Amino acid sequence: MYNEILSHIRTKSEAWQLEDEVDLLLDHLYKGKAGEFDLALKNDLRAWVSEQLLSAFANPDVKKDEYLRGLKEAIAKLRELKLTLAFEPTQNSIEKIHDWVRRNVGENIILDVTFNPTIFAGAIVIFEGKYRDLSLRNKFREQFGENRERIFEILGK
Amino acid sequence: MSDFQIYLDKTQEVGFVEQSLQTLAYVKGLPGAKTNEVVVFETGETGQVLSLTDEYVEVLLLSKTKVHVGTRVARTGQQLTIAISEDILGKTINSLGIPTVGSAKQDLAVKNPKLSQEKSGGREYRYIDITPPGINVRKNIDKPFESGVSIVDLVVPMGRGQRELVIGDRKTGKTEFLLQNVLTQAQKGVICVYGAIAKKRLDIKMIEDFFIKNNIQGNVVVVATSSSDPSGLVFLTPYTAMTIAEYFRDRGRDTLVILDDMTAHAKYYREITLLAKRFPGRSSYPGDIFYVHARLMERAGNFIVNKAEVSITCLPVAELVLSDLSGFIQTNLMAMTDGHIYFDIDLFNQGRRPPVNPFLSVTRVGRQAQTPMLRDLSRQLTSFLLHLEDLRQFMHFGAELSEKTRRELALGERLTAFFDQAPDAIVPLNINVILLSCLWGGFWKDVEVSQMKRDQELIIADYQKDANYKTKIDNLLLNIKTFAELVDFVKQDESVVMGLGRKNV
Repeated sequence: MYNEILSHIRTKSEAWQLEDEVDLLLDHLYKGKAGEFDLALKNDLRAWVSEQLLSAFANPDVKKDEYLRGLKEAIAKLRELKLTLAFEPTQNSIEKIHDWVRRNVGENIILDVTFNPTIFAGAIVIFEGKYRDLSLRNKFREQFGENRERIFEILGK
Repeated sequence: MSDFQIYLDKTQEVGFVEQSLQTLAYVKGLPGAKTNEVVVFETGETGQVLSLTDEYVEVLLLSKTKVHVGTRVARTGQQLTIAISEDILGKTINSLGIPTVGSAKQDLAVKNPKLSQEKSGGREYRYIDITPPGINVRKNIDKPFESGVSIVDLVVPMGRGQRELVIGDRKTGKTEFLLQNVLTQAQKGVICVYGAIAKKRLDIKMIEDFFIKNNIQGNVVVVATSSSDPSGLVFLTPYTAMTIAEYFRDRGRDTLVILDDMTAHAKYYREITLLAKRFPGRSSYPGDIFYVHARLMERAGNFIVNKAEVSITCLPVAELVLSDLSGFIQTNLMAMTDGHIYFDIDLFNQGRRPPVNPFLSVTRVGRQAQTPMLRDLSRQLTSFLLHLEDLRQFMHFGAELSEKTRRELALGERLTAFFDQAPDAIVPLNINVILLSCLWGGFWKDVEVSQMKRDQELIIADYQKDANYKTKIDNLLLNIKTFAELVDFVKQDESVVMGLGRKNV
């Protein structure tokens, strides 16, 4: 029911934004003058959200209140994949990462990307309580742990 | 690297605090968490997994500081353990094995709990919550346990490995009685573990001072948590105390564990479980409170360790409210122990010290550990005390008393005085028996009670100081079979007591 609209959500901030938009519509549902809801639906939302919702409400069987509340619940149920990167990703990078995640991990997953230059390169991934440090910092740490003497020897030359 | 980062790298699992509720934290994540597992927060706090739901891992905090929502949490993959070594003797530690400020001469802190039974550098790491040993490693209680308190040793005797509940209203001298027990046992070389559960800091200090003053700290460990400590730490106190006792038991040392007090422990457990929204049962205690206490009590007993008998005697304490013996926790504890010693507030108000009520006190296994002579003495004494109580009731009618009754009442008065004991004084069992037999034989019938007490104190002092006299008394009691025989003997040979005590008067 919500797959189409949720497929546009890639990150946590986008999910929050959509949630705010749904809240706005819910606020206009029972208060204000007649027609305010439709006005808000057309003017106060992002174009693609407005378009998706208008097409959903075109079906006379869909009750607006139920639909919007269901959408809020569906947003809350999106699984979160926390990603720590050494660079600030562009929209293009986020798109690519999200696409890879959707194909390899599963649907209904959103990214929570944080920027931490101290990891040098690679990424730290947290998903459903599982933690993987795939950063270059961790590799350095491992190498220092295992070959400390050898590294100092090389650096000393 | 911090402990948190080490464990995070090791277990590769992370969680985030979603809700923090006083002593509990609800964590999202940690898919592999198990109940009782220790977790570490990125801010340095530790906690123990209390339960698991579909959504959250419920963590009991073991640190004073509050954790904030969003804090990262890592599993350790280990259950709670404490580090124990012989060096722990003489220390006051908290329930994580960390010496408390002021008594920390050696660092025994357990920062990184390790796997149970792992030995490193003379220390042993032990789980604090284990399944009690089965019947195959237990043995009947057959050795007497000396408390150093006359009325208890003679009327409510205990055996090594017995679990005897000490029950009474507050401020009736329970702690003093426990300290007398520790003093008696520590002087005999028994390892004593005093578990002070949610006590005031001042009370803990007084307990420590008592051990130092009597120079027995070398055989004593105090596991103490104060009422200002986190509920989680207070809850763990008796487990740590029992774990230390088990450590010394496994080294072939008899131990005495005092759990002062279990009603406070139950209250703290109630606080935790109510916060965790467990369904409340009777008096709002959780349904598993009996199980929690019984599981702990079962860890005490008389065990076979390396083909030798080694005991863990346990004296849990229960506090009464307005002398109500029918309280939930109190009756639970009575059901899971091998008897109880009742400290009667009425007797206390009458000036009896210790105010042990011999009629409401019970010992289920203590008599089987006594010699036949002591058993005979105990039976006759209990019977006389009952008779005396009847006589005292009868006197209320203002009846004219016969010569025999007057004699019995006079003996009763002297017996009451005989059982009166200063809170810091202990009476060795053998000299106790001799003194009682003298009293029974009419030695002090014509002297003032105060004179009798002075004589007895001198005789006790002689017994404690004079090795020859001690040997003579000990040997004498080895060869006598009945109490009547002993009374006859002391009547015939007054030198048993008169030669020493009275000559110094």
